[in-house]
Amino acid sequence: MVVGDLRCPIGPEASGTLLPDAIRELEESPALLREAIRGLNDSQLDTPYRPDGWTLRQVVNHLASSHAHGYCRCHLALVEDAPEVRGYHQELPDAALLPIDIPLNLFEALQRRLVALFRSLTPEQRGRTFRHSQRGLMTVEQLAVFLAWHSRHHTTHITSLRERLGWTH
Amino acid sequence: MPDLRYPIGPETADTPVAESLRDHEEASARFREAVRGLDDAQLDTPYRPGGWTVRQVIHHMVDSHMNGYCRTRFALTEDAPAVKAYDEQAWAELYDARTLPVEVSLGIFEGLQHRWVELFRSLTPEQWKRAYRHSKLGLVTLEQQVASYAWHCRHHAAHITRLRERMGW
Repeated sequence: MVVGDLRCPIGPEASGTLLPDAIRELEESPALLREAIRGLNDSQLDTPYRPDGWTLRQVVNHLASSHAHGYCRCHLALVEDAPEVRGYHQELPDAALLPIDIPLNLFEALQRRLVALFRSLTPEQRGRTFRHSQRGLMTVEQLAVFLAWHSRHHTTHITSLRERLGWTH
Repeated sequence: MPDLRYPIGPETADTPVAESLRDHEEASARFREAVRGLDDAQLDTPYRPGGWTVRQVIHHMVDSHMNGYCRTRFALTEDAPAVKAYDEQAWAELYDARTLPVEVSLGIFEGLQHRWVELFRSLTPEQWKRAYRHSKLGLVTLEQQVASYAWHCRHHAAHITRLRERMGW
């Protein structure tokens, strides 16, 4: 398998997903992530999911931090007119060392509130936007679809590494 | 008449780091204890006339500290990045902050504080001096930030515990 496929195992970002599907996926995402890392020991968690890629531990941390940014962006878009938000560059070094439960618990708890918020959106709110420094204008609905794709994308990094290395549950 | 809005006095940003970190570590247990046993009608009571309900205070803690966590990350990876004040009043009026069970945000807050404290604990002396530029507060170093958010925990926890005292709950 070429590196490009390892990096994008479920293909590029989905754009045709509907909000209800995205919400359902987001709701299931913490359980899927938990299942993906179940039973892995520390040295397995410290294995890169592809050559030169993040370790599994960093992947889980990245999901928690990136959805924390998503949380802020969603709320900002709902109360301000197309607020500017910035992309962020990198994972912090401490992410390589953290006990896995910390980001996992955060990710799970965070998703519950995001899901409830996405469910409550009126048609007007779905179309509200923020302007991302790298991605341009994005609606709240597109954000939900992105976050759902993003969860699957990174969870699949973990599950496909397990398959390749024969780390069965 | 006690100052209902500032029960522990104005914000402080000069508390020693070690002391602030202890506040951060204890914060989620403090909030859990503050709302323990309250029913929905009690949770929907404003902590002062014209103020947020207890429920909104709990959800606000997540709004505020989620922004704070993202700011710390920006400060560590960019040079004095500009960050914008968020409209905390408008966020507190959104559907999720007005209606969701407090348990949802107590879970996020716990996970988030855990993650944030780990990040703070990993900082070198040089990193503690790193700063972001806040649209209203100006330059804030991470040393000041950790103290100001520690105050923020005590401040809002006191809103709830003082209300309980006054109401005999």
